[in-house]
Amino acid sequence: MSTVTRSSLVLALALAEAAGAAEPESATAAPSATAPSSALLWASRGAETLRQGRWQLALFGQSHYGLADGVELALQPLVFLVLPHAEAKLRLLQRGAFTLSLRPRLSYPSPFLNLVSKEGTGGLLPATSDVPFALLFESDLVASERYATEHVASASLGLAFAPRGSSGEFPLLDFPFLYPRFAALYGVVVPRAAVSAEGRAVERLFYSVELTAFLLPLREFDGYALEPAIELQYRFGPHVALLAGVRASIARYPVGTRFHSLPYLDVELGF
Amino acid sequence: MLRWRGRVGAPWQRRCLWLRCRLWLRCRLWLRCWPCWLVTALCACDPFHATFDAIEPARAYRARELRPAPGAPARLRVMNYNVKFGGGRIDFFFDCHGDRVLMKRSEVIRNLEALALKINQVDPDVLVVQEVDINSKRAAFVDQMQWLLDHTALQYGVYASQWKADFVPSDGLGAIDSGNGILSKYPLSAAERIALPLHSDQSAIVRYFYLRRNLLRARLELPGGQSARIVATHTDAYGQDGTKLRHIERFEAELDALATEGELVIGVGDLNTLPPGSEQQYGFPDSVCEEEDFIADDYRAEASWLDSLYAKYSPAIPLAEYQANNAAYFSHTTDQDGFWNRKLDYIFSNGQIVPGSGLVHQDEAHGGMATMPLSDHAPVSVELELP
Repeated sequence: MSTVTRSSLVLALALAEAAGAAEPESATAAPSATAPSSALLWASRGAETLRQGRWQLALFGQSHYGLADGVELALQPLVFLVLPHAEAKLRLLQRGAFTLSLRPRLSYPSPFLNLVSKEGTGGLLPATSDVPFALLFESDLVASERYATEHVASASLGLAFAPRGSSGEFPLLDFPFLYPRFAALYGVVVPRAAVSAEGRAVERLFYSVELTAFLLPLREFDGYALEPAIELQYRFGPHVALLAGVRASIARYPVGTRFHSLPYLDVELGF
Repeated sequence: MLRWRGRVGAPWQRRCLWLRCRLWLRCRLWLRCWPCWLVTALCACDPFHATFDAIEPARAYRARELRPAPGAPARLRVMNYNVKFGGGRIDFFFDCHGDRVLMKRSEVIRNLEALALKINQVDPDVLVVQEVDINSKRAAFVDQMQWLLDHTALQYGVYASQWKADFVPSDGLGAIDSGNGILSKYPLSAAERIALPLHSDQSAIVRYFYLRRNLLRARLELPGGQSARIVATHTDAYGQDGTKLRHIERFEAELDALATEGELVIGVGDLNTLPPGSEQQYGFPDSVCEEEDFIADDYRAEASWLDSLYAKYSPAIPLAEYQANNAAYFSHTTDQDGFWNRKLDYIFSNGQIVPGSGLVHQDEAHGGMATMPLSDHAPVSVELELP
């Protein structure tokens, strides 16, 4: 794969993550002795939240901030410029090793859709597309169970819906990985579910595996998308981590069912 | 224990156990191979499934309802038509007359109905099409090969993609699968897609998503054991690096190879170049593109590129007739408000062409029906005497 193709795919994934994916750049750490029991040093896919006052910045993936005990904020700063968005994770319940959280997210996709509705290279939609004013609301209920101290299994159920104006011509954005994340713009509601497991693999190496499923009941077409993801995170210490992963997509598009995969690397800083 | 043994010994349980063992073995094999699968997936150089092997089997089609094949013909009527993906005279962005990219399904069907009307009026035994879309976002994902087979007297088809990608991230094109097709009243066999050289003057990323021209080769199985070999192509249009000449030479070489085998050979295509002796070779009024990538209106360097084909094979339109009156055989214009202003579409054969049967269906006077609204190319037809 050429460097340019890979770069564009990496950008697509960054956008995809910013548009509602679970954070693929993180893995859990055991809670420290001084922090509340579910507060993490590194952000998690599951229900547990980042330690209060802790920042975690990533190059391509989402950046996180522990706003309060049980409250975590996230956004992707670069993507934010073209796709304003914000995500929160709110711990609802913690009982022993079990944690339940709500992960709401709000984004304004119209600027991004206008940006990719263009002639020439990078035109994911025709320049003549009538991009609607739209808001994209997403929310996931995430449940996690910690086991063997350093491993967490999680499951989530979520919905996305997008109130929008304009009923003009707005073609389907069927670019891999972006497709399920913008699908709510073409239907009433997009349900989704995910299961994941994460924890320490060995020493400073942490693993994370996830399977996300989207149902895509669109206006003129019923599709679906399945996205398995595997990540390894090497933590040099509490401040720097290197992430390598691959996310795949098996999705039913109007053109048929297609498989795509996207390997990626990321650097994360925590402080 | 005896009871357990007895239960396992029951036929359905033995089968169940056998299936479970097979499943377990398969899982073990898969698990053993999973690093290979993972590495293959990660290292795949074709993330949007846009590439082809040098030679591949062509995609085969059949009409939904097959009718009894006609009897042994004395003559074979061959038609060549660049159908512009069922776009009719919608002004698309690439010909610089408009800004359209995508069509609605209703538009595609309406345009295909008009094309089918013309095809049924000509009633060819063999129809070769260029720019036929089978699964493209721009054509509302209508399989035009299947649609044409289901709405004409043609029953068998073969297809070779010349532009295929899960997603073309340019101009909003999205998914595309467009190519060359051969449709016939008679069965087709041994159909293959032969890759033609790619542009050498494009960046790797552009070349990856760009057209991949081909020769579509098939055997036409005629009643009574007769057969003919058909070679269809659509050569390069915009390259400045000699790609078009290499395509034409490869097309000619393929015809030569089949002719040497003693076959009746029919070579059909949109060759994107003018016949020798064309009066106007540049400065066509419908060429309004300013972007270099879409300029294709200067043929001065190509004056002799078809000499060899004309020398070795019989053309549908004899060269002398064309040179006596170019305009009567023009077959292309991008301007829906103008008229055909150059000849790009050809049929050649080593067989015997029925004198005077070659026709460019330009309008009601030449072909009995207006064709300007149907595509940016006019169809060409000819009749061949069968031995």
